[in-house]
Amino acid sequence: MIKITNLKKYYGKHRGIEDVSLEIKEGEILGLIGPNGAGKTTTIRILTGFLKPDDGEALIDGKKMPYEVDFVKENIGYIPGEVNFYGDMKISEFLEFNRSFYKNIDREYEKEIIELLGIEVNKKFKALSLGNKKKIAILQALVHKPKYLIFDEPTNGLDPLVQQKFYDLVKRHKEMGAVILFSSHILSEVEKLCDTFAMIKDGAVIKSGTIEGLRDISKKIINIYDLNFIEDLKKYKYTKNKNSTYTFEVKSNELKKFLEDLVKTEFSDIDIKNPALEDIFLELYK
Amino acid sequence: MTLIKKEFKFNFKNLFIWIIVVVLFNLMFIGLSDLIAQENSVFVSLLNKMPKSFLDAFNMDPETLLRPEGMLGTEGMTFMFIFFGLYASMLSSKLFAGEYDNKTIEYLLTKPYSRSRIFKNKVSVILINSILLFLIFLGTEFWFFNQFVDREFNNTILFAFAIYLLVIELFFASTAALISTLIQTRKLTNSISLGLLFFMYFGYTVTEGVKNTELLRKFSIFYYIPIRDTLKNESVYLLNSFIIILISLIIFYVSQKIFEKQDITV
Repeated sequence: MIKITNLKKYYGKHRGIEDVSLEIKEGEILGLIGPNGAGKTTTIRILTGFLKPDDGEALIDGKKMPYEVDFVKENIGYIPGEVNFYGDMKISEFLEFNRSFYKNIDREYEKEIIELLGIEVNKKFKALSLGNKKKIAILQALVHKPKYLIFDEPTNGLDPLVQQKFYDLVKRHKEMGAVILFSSHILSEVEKLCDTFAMIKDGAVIKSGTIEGLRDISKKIINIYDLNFIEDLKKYKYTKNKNSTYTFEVKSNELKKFLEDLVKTEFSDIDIKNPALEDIFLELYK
Repeated sequence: MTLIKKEFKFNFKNLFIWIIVVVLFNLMFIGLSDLIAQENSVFVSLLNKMPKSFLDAFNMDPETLLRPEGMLGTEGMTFMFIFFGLYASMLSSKLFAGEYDNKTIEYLLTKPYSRSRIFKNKVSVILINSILLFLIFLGTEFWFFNQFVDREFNNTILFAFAIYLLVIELFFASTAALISTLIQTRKLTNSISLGLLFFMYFGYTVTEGVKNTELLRKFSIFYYIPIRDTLKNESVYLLNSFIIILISLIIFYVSQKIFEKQDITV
């Protein structure tokens, strides 16, 4: 289990985090959501043993981070927000280097991830694109099948196809009983993958709970073009724009019902967008 | 490939280049030693007419220049002190500050090696490389002296010069490790380490014989391993060398403790 209680960290006078508490059980994925600068990375850096908290407690498997990190390192898999490995190393050399840290690495599983993500092992790390660097970060975090997975915005730079493959891998680890902390600023990603969530803003958790609770907050912005407006759509929040174009704000858990109502009438086009996370936070503060 | 093997492999090219520089430098100076000695009588009489402070500043002692190993005390050969200090500082800053600069420290610290083990592994690589460069110098120094110098020479002095180089390597490697852990950027670490090296070297040699700079000179490690006095008195400053090595190990230990406890904010 990962348990964080009233964690606080300041960098000199600057706030890192003010009051962060969360808990992740075995076989559970917690989505840590927040805009840039909210304190997600600081929380993660305390958990991975890079930073000492000023106050509060961060426990992994009952071990106090960062002081007892050496007891759990073997069981931690970490994907950093910014991927930096040894530029002059070939990926094949890097894999060999990475293997040397662990007693038993399942070579078959390593091969499977390489094939699944399409990793080119003969290139040097510095020759890789951001997306390909991220693939290596995923590989080194998962290959030793750790119990504790800590991801800091892991899908940044990944194309949608690889993102989906990554989600599948994460789900497999969840089934194996892994405890997963998934930091992101993309609400839809967290909705799709996580069991619980914690929203962090200005260094403090402002809302947390099950993913259903998040769907209640989360909404979609839907533009309908040349809409023949009908009575059934009146119950949704909307604004009428020029040329019979309507913009609806529909809660994620009402989306299916909205679409069922929509198909009863005529329209020429539709687009569905996710609102910016900042807008959702603003709404939460109203 | 373990951390030690990786560091050794990715720093071997640099070591190889420095080995070539050291061997060629040795070959050039030692190879010409006898030739210079034949012309030395005129040169020595010229030196005797020069002001003592000038000769001190350029590490020139007319008496010792008449002996084959006297060339080890010339300004040219004592540049080897700078080479060795330079190599050790750069290697140390690459191994420590380089991890912060490239932000690879994040990767390394999440792997199941303790901070203490990571530090010790890196220090081992510094020690191996430094000792290797020292042995290459020592080997080629003796070999070239035996090959090219016909006159009798003092083996102890040759050994002392090599030992001093090792002392310099370890001292500047340890200070660069300390600066790296404190500053966490390679460029600044290099600037400070090299500044310290040049300050100590030129601060010691240029102010030789100037009485009111005596205290300042005591801050330089070169004051405690004076090659000129070694040549003059034919005695090796082994105790001083041992104390400086001990101080270097203490600096490494302090750096390790800082590294173990510090926040990583790259």
